[in-house]
Order: sequence, then structure tokens, then C-alpha cells
Amino acid sequence: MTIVNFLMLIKASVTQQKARSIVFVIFNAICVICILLTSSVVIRLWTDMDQKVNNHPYNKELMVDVDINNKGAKDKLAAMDGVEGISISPYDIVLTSADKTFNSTVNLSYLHMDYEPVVTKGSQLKSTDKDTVLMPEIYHDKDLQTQMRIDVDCKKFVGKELNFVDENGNQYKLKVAGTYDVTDPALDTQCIYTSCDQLLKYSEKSADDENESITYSLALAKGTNKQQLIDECEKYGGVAYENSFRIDLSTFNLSLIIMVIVLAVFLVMTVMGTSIFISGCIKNRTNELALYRALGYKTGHIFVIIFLEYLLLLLIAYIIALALSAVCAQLILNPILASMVKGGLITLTAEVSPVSALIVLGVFVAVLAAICLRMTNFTQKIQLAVLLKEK
Amino acid sequence: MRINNNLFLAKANLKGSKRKDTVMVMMILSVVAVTLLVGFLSIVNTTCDEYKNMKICRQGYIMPETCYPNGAKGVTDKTIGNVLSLEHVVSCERAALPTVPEVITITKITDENNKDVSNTTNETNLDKLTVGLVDQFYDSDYINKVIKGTGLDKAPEMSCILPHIFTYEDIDEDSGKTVAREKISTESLIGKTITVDLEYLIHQFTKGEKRGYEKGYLGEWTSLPKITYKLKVVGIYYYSKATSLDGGSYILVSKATAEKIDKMALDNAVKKGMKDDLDDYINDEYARDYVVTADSIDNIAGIISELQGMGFNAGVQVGYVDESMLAFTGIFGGVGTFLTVAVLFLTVINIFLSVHNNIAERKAEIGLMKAVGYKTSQIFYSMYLENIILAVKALLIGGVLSAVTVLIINLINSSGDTAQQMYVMPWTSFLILLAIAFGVILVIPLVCLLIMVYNIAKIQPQEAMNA
Amino acid sequence: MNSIVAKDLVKVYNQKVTALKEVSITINQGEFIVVMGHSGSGKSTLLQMIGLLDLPTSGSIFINSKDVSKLPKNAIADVRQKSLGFVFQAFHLNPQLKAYENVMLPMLINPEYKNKAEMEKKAKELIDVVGLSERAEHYPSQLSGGEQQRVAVARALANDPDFILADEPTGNLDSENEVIIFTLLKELAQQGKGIMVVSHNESILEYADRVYYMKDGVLGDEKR
Repeated sequence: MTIVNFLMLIKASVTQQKARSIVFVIFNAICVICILLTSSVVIRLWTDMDQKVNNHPYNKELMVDVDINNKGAKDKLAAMDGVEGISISPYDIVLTSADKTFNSTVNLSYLHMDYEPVVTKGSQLKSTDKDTVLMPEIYHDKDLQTQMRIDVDCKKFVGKELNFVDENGNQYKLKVAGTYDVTDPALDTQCIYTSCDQLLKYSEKSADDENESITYSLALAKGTNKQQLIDECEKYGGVAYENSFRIDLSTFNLSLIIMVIVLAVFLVMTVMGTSIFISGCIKNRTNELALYRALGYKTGHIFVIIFLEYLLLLLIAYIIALALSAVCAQLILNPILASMVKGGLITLTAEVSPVSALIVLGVFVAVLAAICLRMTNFTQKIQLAVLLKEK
Repeated sequence: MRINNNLFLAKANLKGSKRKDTVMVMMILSVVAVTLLVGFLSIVNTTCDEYKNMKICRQGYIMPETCYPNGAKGVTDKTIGNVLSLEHVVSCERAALPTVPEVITITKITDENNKDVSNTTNETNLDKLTVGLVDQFYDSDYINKVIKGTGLDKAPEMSCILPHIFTYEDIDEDSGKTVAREKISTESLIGKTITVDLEYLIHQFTKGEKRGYEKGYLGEWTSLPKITYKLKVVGIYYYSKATSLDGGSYILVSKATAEKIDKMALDNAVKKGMKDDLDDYINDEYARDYVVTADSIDNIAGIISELQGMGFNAGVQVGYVDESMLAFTGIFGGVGTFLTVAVLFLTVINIFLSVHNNIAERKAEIGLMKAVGYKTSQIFYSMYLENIILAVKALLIGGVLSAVTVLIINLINSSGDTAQQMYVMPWTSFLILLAIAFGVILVIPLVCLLIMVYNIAKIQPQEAMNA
Repeated sequence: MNSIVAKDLVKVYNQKVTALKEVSITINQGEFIVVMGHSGSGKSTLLQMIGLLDLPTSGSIFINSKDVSKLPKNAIADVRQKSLGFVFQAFHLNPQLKAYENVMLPMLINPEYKNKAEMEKKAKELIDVVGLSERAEHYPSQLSGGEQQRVAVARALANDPDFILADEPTGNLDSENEVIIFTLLKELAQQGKGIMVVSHNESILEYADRVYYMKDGVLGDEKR
């Protein structure tokens, strides 16, 4: 009941300091908007980098070359700590176009670890498919005479069959199931990809029997201890190496860490700025609060009076901020972010999720409560003698 | 005199003011935000931009005139103007050097005392070096980007810089399988001299009089006799896919060195009896490739097609930006920019609102000043002076705080893993950001006061004092 | 009958300035007591002590035979709420609240009032008591100085306290309003409230039951 009583005081206080209250609302609204939008963009980037790049299936694989006579190696490699599975990795087959589609040679490779790349046109390879491949969306061909680069748009081949010949004269009729996004850092744009089984079958067909070694693919549980495993493989006679990516992972991960740190500092500063602002607002009301204490108001009452007022203003600011964030994200931010992204691997969007909205609200309310508590204690120390001063 | 008086009043006002703390702390926070946060974000952005604007990705070649059916023309002093007049073309120059060396072999490594140290350590293993460092190049982007040693701009002729790590990969030619793969650091090679054998390819030039061209060249290549020269390794540059094209296999030399080697190869070939073949090549300064540089990577493809349309034998683009790198640098650069804008925006709003708050509460003070005889402009001046004092203090405190942080971070990044050398903030950038921060905390209160001048003018002395 | 008894109050500020030097005073209900003195004599400090606005360095204060100076802060607040009413020289009315709402201020924390309607009713009654019925809905800025102080007196009566303490209540008023306020306070004393006024205004003397003079922190003997 007491809270309802205080509404009268709160209304009076707010109307008395109209300007300051409006500034309070605007300030907090802007802080909330900034926090919500920047966190959502950076965290989205973080999760994408983590899932799609650092935990890229290609990152959890080691290739090991083993001499063909080394019979026991396979089991020993499979038994290594951290290895979840071992399989034979077929070699790439170099193909030349038989129907003059491409001037340069094309590598027929396979998608490791059953990876499904982002497909821009057509569909993924299905396990039931035979003689199907995925082509790069744009293939960098060369004019034989001038050595000039010609970019071939492979989307026009989707659904069609292309003819190739390998170095041993074997013919390949390959159906193009779809085109993959060339911004995927794990894939080589000079390759067309088929499934592992398919490539194994082709390899058997065109195999040189003088193969001196076998390459195994080791599926790892984690991608972090590769160097250790590489050294271990050497013991069993295998030369191991990791898949190479077309981007420098360490540089981008470091950049990401920098951004996350900057974001964290930014958040801390925003909260600090807000708390300073709020405490500045409250410090102006010493006389009023001293009066309440003189009239017999207790600590708890004073806390409620201060806290309620700013809580209401905060909630108004928060609702405005939520609405504006949604509008700003939809109309301004997301189009700009989308224009920065070329390719489908990573998406940049600013989205305010209910969870983050609640967390931010919780933080602000907690900060507000803490400040009001501090201010209440501060007012306890005010000499009530201030009331006795002449005007 | 007026400034002194006002200074006195400003200082006195500040002493008594409880609310200056808010503005002061906001200003300090702003200085720290601009110097630290914006500073580190701009490092990320710069890294991304540098990759996209690498000179080598903005360049294309125009080859000499040929007498092939397409009758492409080369660059002469009559036609160079046409090339330069194209929009987005920054320059058109004779190619400095071997664009297609056939083979480089590293045959010896000697130390500072001329002692042969080849094959004494893993890093001086000649086979591995030859396999790992396959190209020699003149790249103007890299002249002084060394992380250890000296840059090419300060080194004498016949010096080179190596990538800090190169990959040695031994591939069995028959089976195509990799038999060895190793990453080798070149740090220990600084100060040593490498002896290089180079077989150099040039266009073969034969006048095609039958074709009726004034000068015509068959677009074929010929190999010049091998030359041997020595290069002193003066430094190592940071190689990473983020900052260079691929391979990390380039021995980089300066333009002067490249031209000297060029001349060496030609003189040697003439000595070995190839004079006739080379006569035109040596004497005709236009019998060379010309390198066209565009202002951005987006424009080079268009320029090359335009040149082809104009009849030039324009072709091979020197370097390509990998789509994956392009996508990632675009995204990271974008988020970096977005965060920078957010930080700056919030900083400006912070200062503006706290100054506004501060002023709105001082009606009684302003009333008193007016009662005493101050004009609006004098009140404005006095209040702004207060802000300047606060700003200077905030700049000092904030500047010291962020300088210490930057110092610590720079120290951490400089030692240990050299790969992190990219994230060291140069002090010139820091000072520029500090100046920007100072500008912000000076200008925003000024703007705020200007906006509120009208309100200040409206205040009547008596009513303000009684409020 | 209740009384406030202060014994040997000493108040030292900053370990240097002694504002009160062993002052003892008793205020009984139904009495109109005046403490006079020049500025700096310590009379305001005495009022602070008695009104429990501040605690003495040594000495004790008994209200209704209970030593309240040793109580914890919240308990002291309760005492102020129940037993004391204040009238300040600077009025200290909330400019955003109407006159009767200002009177309601102390009632908001009094558990004896069950709902707002009760408070409003009582507040308006008190406004009538001080003679401002037509001005109940007005804001302080619309009232004259005397009217504002009368609202303050009404506010002091909100929780029906036993004692009313006034610090220079007529310091900002003209002589006509002085009379009105002093008369009001005298009536309250006759109705059984204990009134203590601190003032340097000689015209109050005719209303007082007991007068004390303070000089340099020492309470002189009663004069009357």
C-alpha cells in the first residue's frame, strides 16, 4: 500500500524536473539501444566464426600419408588419443574438359568429413547420387594464349552433364548437381567435388598400381591439439598435415578477440556512464530527501521513493529503446550489414533476441538498484541541519 | 585581462560545483573510449583494408604489340596518354622485373664473415629453401613492412627480405602425394647472404615485316642464360594469408635491385651471343610489359577490358584477391567500422547529455550573474571556460590511462609470437586519436552551449534567484 | 502528560567547535516554550538535538521517559513520525504538490491511515484548522509566505504529534503573518501540544509560557 502512496511523490518529482527526467530517459534509451545492437552483431559474428570456421569439419581432420607396406599403421593411427575415426582418403584426379567447357584442367576432389557446403544454385550431393558433382559458383579459367583470366559462371551448368577425360584417357560423364559458394575458406575453387565413395570408385578405375603410399583421413574429436597428433603420427611412420584454409585463421580469430574485448569494455563504459549519470541526478535532491527523513521516513521508504521513480523512467526508456532497436535494425542496420557480406558462409545481422533483451534489462535494473541503495545510504549521512538553513 | 578574470570565476564555480564530477567522468570515459576502443578497432580495419587494396591486386599487364590476328597494340609514348586518361587508372609504368622467372635456385648461403653456412642447420638447408622460396619479386607494398631487421627502403642494393615463415613441401611427382611438410622460420637468415641462380624468361621479339606492321612482335617467350648473383637478407616480413597473396614464398627485392638484375640478365645474354635476338628487346623500351595500376581492386577488371576494347594487349592481372579472404575482410572490416561508429556515437551523446544536464540546473547561478550585470555572451564565455578546464584535466587523466594501457598491450604484442606484431598500436595513431578525443570533448559542450544560448538569454535574474 | 527532557546535551563539531555546553531543558505538553538568542548562540543546534535531527556528542534525550538518543536510526525515525512535528523557516513545501497534498506527506508512512481517502480527508481538516480551506487545492507558488507557513504548520500536525518544534517560523514573514502564526501555535499549545519555538523575534514573548536565553552554547535560566 505504501508504494501506491508514494506514486503521488513520484509524479511530483518527475514533473518538477521535467527536463532532467527527459534527459534521463533519452540517455538510458540510447545506451540500451547501443548495447543491444552492438552485442547482437558481435555475438552473432562470434558464434558464426566458432561454428562455421573454427569448428569447420575440415578443421577437425588430419591427413596422414603412410607407406603402403606399413601394414600396422592404420590401426595404430586409429588408436591414437583424440582420433574418432579413420578412413582412406582418395587422391584428386586431374581432369581435362572433353567438350571445351574449360581451358584449364580441373581437379576432381571429394568433400571431406561429409561436409555440406553452402550451395548457391541446385542442390547438395545426395548419398544415392552417382557421377554427380558440385561445381564452384565461379571458376577461374585461363585463356591459353593470353594467359588472361576468364571467370566462368558455372551456374549455367547446373542440371547438365559435362564430359571430362583424365590423364589416363578415362572418360567421365559428370552431372552437375549444384554450385557451391566460393567464399568457403576450406574449399578450393579450382576443384569440383564429388562424394568420397564416388571418388574412391574412380580412383580404383584409374589407379596406377605403383602407388607407394596411402593417405588416411583421421577424424578428430577436437581441432585444437593437431600439432601433438602430427608429431605422434611420425612415430608410426606417417607424415601428417592439416587441411589448409584460404584465410589466415589466426589473424581473424585475433581480430575477433579484439572486437569482443572492445565490446566488453564498451559495455562496461556504458554501464559506468549510466551509473554516473543516474547518481548525478539523485545527488540534486538532498534537500527533498532530508525533509522526508525529518518527517520520519525510514531508510526503506526513501529507497523505495528514489528507486521507483527511476525504475519507471528506466522502463519507459527501455520500451522506447526496444522499439527503436527493432526499427533501426530492420531499416538501417541490416541492409548495411548485408551489403558488407559477400557469400553465404557467415551472416551478419542485428537481431534483438528476447534473452539478450531480458539480460540487458536485468543489468540496468540491477545497476539502478545498486546506485539507489548507495544514494540512500548517502542521504542518511546528510545532516538534517540543512533544513534549518535560511533560504 | 578578461581571460584571467573569467578564469578565476570559472575555477571558483568549478570548486563549488557538485555536478562537475559527472561531466568530468564522462569526459574521461570519452577520451579513453576514443583512444583505446577506436584505436584497436581501427587496427583491425586497417588490416582488412590493406589486404583489399594491395597494389599487386590492382595491377594488370599490357603486353607489347604482337602480330597475332587480333593485332593488339602495345604501349608507346603516343599511346601511354590514352592509357593514363582512363578513369580509375593511377599509373602505367614499365614492369620492373622478372614477372615470370623460370627457375630460382638458391645455391649457397654465407654468413657475415663470408663463411659458407649452407646446409648447416635446418633453416639453411638449400633444398628446402629452394623449394620453399620459389619466387623473386618486387612488391612496393612491402618495402618497409619488416618485423625484424631493416626494410628495403633503408637497405643497400642487392638486398632482399624473406617471409618470416615459409612452407617446405615435398611432393612426389609420380603419385602427387606429399612426402614432407614443414614450416620453417627464416629469422636466423637475417644478415646472411644467399647466392641465387636465376633463369629469366623474356618475350621473344622478331620483327614481322611480312605482316606489314611498323613494329611487330611474335608473342613468344625465350629463356635467357642463367645468371648468378648474391642478395643479402636484411630483414623478414610477416607472411600471413591475411596480408599477402599466397604461398609466403616470395623473396622480395627493391625496384632498383630488380632493374639491376634485369640488366644483369640481358647483358649476360648478349655476352653469350644472343644479341640479335635481344636487340629490339634491349633497345626498344616499349618492347616490355607495362603495368597498369588501378585505384581499387573493383576497377582493375573493368580497366583491363577497356584497354582490350581500345586495342591494347591487356591481360593477366598480377594478383587476385581470394574470394574467401575478400568475404572475411569485408565482414570483419564492416563490424569493425560499425563498432567504431557506435563507440563514437555514444561518446558524443554522453558528453552532450551530461553537459546539457549540468547547464539546465544552474538557473539560479545564471540569474545571479545577470543580476550582477553579466551579459549573455559573457555568461556563455565563462561557462565554456569551465568546460575547457574540465576538458584539459580529463584529457590528461584519460590520456595517461589509455597511454599506459596501450604501452602494456604493445609490449605484450611485441615479444613472444611475432605473429601478433600486427596488433601493435603505433604512437602516431594514438596521438591522432587523442587529438580527436580532445576535439570531441571541446566541441560538443560548445555546441550544447550554443543551443542553450537562447534559454540562457531568456532567464530573468529575479525569477531565477527565487526559484 | 508527556514531556521531552534533555539532559546535559553537549555537541561538538569537528572536534573544535562546541555548539552546546551541557544544556538541559524540559518541554511539557501544553506549554509554549521559546528559546531566544543571537545567531551563533546554539539555539538552532538545540532544536536539532531535541527534534532528533542530529545526535548529541554526549548527553541524553528522553521523550515520554524513553531515552531516544540511543535508539537505532530507523527507530528514531519512528519517534519523529509519531511524536514530533516540524515547522521550518524556509517552509520546505514541495512545489509540485498542492497544499493539502503537502499536508499528506507525513501520513504516507503512517500505518494508521488505511487508504488515501482517509488521508485526504484528514489533510483537508487540518487545512481548515489553519484557516486555509479555500486554498487547499493551490500550489505553494500560488500562496503567500504566510499561507505557505500555515500549510507547513498543518503538515506538522499530520500525524497528531505530541510536540511541535519550530525554527524561526516567522523569519520570512511580515508582521501581520507573524501574528497569525504565533496565534496558531498558541492555540495548539492550549489544545495540549508541547510547542518549542526558537526565535530572535521579540514579539513572540507575549505568547510564551517560558522563555530561555541562549548565549555561546549555554542555556541561561528561565526568565519569566
